[in-house]
Amino acid sequence: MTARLRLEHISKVYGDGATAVHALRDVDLSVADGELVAIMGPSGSGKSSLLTIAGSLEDPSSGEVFVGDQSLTAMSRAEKARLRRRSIGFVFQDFNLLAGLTAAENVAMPLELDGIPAREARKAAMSALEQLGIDQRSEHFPDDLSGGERQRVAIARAIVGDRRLLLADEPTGALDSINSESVIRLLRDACHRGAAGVVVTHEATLASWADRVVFIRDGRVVDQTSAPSGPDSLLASVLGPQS
Amino acid sequence: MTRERQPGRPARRAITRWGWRLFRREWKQQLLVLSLLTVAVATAIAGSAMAVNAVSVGEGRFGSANAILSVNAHDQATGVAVLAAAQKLYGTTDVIAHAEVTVPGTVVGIDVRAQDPSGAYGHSLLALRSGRYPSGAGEVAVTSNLVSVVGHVGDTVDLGGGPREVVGVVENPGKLSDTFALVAPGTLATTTYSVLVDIANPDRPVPQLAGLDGVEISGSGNVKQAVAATVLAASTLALILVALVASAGFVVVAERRQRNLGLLSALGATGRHVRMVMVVNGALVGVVAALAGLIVGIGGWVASASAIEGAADHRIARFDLPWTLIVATLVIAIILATLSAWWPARSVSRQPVMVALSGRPASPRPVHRSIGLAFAVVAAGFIALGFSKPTTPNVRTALLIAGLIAVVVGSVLASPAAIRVLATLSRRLPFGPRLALRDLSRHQSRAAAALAAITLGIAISVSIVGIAVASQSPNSHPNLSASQLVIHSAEPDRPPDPTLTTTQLTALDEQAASIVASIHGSTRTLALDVAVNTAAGGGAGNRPVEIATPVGQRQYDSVSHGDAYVATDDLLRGLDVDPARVANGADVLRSSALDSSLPLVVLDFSSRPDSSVLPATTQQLDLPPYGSAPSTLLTQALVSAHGWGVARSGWFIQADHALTSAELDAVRAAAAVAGFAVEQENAPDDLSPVRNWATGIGAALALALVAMAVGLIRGESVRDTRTLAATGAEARTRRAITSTTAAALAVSGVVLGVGGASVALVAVFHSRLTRLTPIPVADLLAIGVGLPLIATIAGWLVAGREPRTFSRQMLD
Ligand SMILES: Nc1ncnc2c1ncn2[C@@H]1O[C@H](COP(=O)(O)OP(=O)(O)O)[C@@H](O)[C@H]1O
Ligand SMILES: [Mg+2]
Repeated sequence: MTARLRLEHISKVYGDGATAVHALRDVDLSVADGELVAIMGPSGSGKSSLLTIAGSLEDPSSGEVFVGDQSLTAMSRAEKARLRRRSIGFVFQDFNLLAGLTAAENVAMPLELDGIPAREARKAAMSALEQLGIDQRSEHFPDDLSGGERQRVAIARAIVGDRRLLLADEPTGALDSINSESVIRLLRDACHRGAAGVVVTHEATLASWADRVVFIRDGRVVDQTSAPSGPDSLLASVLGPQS
Repeated sequence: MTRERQPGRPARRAITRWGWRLFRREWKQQLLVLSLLTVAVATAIAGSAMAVNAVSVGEGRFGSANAILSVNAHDQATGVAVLAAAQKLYGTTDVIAHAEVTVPGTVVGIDVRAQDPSGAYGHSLLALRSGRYPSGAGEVAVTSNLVSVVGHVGDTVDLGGGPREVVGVVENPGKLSDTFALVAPGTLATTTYSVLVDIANPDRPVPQLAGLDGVEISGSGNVKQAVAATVLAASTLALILVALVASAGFVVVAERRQRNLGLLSALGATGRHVRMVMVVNGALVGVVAALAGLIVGIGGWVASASAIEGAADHRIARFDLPWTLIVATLVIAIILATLSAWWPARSVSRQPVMVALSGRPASPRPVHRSIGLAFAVVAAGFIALGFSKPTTPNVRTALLIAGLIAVVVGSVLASPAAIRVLATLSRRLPFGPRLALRDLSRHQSRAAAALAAITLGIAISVSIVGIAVASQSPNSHPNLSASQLVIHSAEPDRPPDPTLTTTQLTALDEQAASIVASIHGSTRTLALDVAVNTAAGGGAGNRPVEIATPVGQRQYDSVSHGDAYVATDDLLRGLDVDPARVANGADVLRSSALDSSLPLVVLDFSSRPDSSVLPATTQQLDLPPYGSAPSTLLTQALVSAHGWGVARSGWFIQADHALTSAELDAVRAAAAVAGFAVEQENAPDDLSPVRNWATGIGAALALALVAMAVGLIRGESVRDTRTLAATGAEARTRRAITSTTAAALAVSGVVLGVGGASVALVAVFHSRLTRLTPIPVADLLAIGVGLPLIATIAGWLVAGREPRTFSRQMLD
């Protein structure tokens, strides 16, 4: 299996001199297609930095990032933007949907930005919404959706088209436990259909849904383990992925 | 890698759609920008319409011709020959025949004209108010002010050459005060004609024809050019204001959308896409404001046109507007709004995506601008304005506009320095104001456009106040008091006669006395004499000597409002001045209440072609302080030194009470019978409403912009404010902070705006600085003290509630 995402010796320093903050120190991480990796760690440990660097939203201070077989180091701003349009899907904690656009329009936006005609983009968006079981809310505006629904729309947008890398930074941070669980399950299902996923969380019960958990502290990876199989993943291994 | 796919059209369409949706969602938050832009566009449009239309081109005499041949032939045959020759020379001619006719029962001569209402050049000089145009020898039409003198429609009158029936009421739309009777062409026996012609090359001398009295070339070209320059300059300022207001507003919009734009970047939008969202918004705001401004501006123009007609003394075609200028204004407004949106979008699109997504404003950029550069730019603008000859018709438009822009830019460049001064002063202040001033100085770069707009708004209103004062100035000294009258025995075409015998003079004086008899109470009637150079002889020699003040090279302003009277002993005694007080060697006596700073000269017009200019020694005396009263006199010594003759030109009447309108009517009627003209107190054109409106609107605009700037500055420091609230600071502290910020912005706007406007006004009026007096203290106080005070109080009151910006971070 090829690695969809590969971080090699990544370090990130914010600021300089006396006020310098070492957010990441020499981090290596590799995520394969079809795999969901959970990242856990205390607040300020560098989880978000790791995710934004992996997603090309920020440049590392040193080290190299590969998405697929492409290195981000030499890419221009415009090339990174194109990579994000085509290959990377983000889900943030609390602010995910563009105001003033319906759920379907939000999901279609990355495709349209990439030059896909509106009708085609809309069709793809509807099928992504359908996969997330939220197609009946496609014409609603973000203001009219519940928190759980919004995150599902965000996930639909993160997987629309043939996006292969799914990055989620505490996607359940603002949700109650029932919604949290269903969101994490949807992420895992998306990955099991072939995408590579990285999800940041600080809840062990949610991390247990992942295929692997990476622990990070003070910017260093301190432990990497296969998570104990949760009840659902046990079921899944027997019955195969469910929608 | 798949084949390269260009985002192109679908992306642009998606971005435009989103931009439009955001505008629809947020238009209420942009209402301030929208309405300010609308007002600026409307003002530019209505202002240019008024300025262009207020100019009476050729004073309603030229019509569409560029020259008038005055024909004054010895006999009718010569006259007809000249007309034929003119037609041969110039092709199309439009002949207006004149005859002066005295109507029985009055002594006033009436101008009877034979003119073709559909004449080639003169058709715009005739319009029918009621009835119809005369046709044939038996009909006449009159202007409305002659109806009571000549006759009503249906009456039969004799204007010489047989009875005519009055068939209509007419007017000269180019000069509403024009008074005449109109007869059909060819029905007037006369030797006097005005021939309207179009001369291909007006600079070439016109062939001499026997009977041709003179040729007058229309001077409207220069005037039009000067008006166009003024309109262009005013529109430029209005549009700079548009750009500044829009920039200030769009900084707020960009800030509000920061997270959305960051999210769009995270989804893979390029910098161009991000900028486009804002540019679409700017273009929409520009289009809406331009259309609204067009409607409001034209509406305002149409509504005020009738008032302007009265003042301008000519009819105004409501839709005869400078359309090219208007369309240019609209297009430029839209472009400026679009560009103003592009600028803050550029800084958002340059932010790291994560910073934009976090919703934290970017850290403040320090502002480094040299105060020296600001002064240099203002000085350059001052010089350019001074050399642009703005008060003459030969105004240099490019220089005028460049100078205005330089003064504006320079004043705006000085704003960081002004704020730095305020921040320096803050060290001694209590905590709240100190924090406010420090934040203001730290974050001024983002409020820079708002501060610049405040400055320019104040500068424009102060400039309008200044121009209103300058326009008022010539008439601001009242001509007479309410208890005074001047009766003029002479008219411009009937100069005073220096050869009258004593008996004739006595008869004239008695006539005047009988006219004044209808005034109750005691009156004093003083004979007024003018000096006439009899030695020069001829008709032109009878133009009386005048007293004037030099205003430029070979340019003079008459200070005597017409005639300069001779200081006879009788006149001086009548004015309670002892004739013995007249100093030896004094040429001119002047009321000490009048401006004494101007050098005076005596103009003798008899020595043609140029009048001779005699420098005069002036003595101040206790004469009446009114322009048309005997307030500036020629000494008898001067008159006899030059051997000038003396002619009776009228009488000065001083009553012991303010004259009633009944008394005035009686005097006017009696004077009309005698063929005299009566001058009474002439309330000067009151431009104070213009000043007060300019002050009010300028202050309101500045306050709105101060509110906007306070929002920008304090919005930036919301976190501080929240921390303050969390640490238990009371509403008092919050109030102190907001009101200090508002006050500081208002004060620096006032200092820079009033300063910049003063520089521009002084540069424009540098040759006639006294025209800027009296300084409009009330208006300046309203702006200089009232505005900061209101801003302070409003800031204090508004900040009592939790500011809305508190929750803004939570929205979306
Ligand atoms: N833009 C930034 N500028 C300066 N320091 C930052 C920035 N972003 C993150 N940091 C610092 O880097 C460290 C890691 O932050 P982050 O990756 O957000 O941690 P986490 O997501 O695990 O809470 C923290 O100490 C944080 O203060
Ligand atoms: Mg984080």
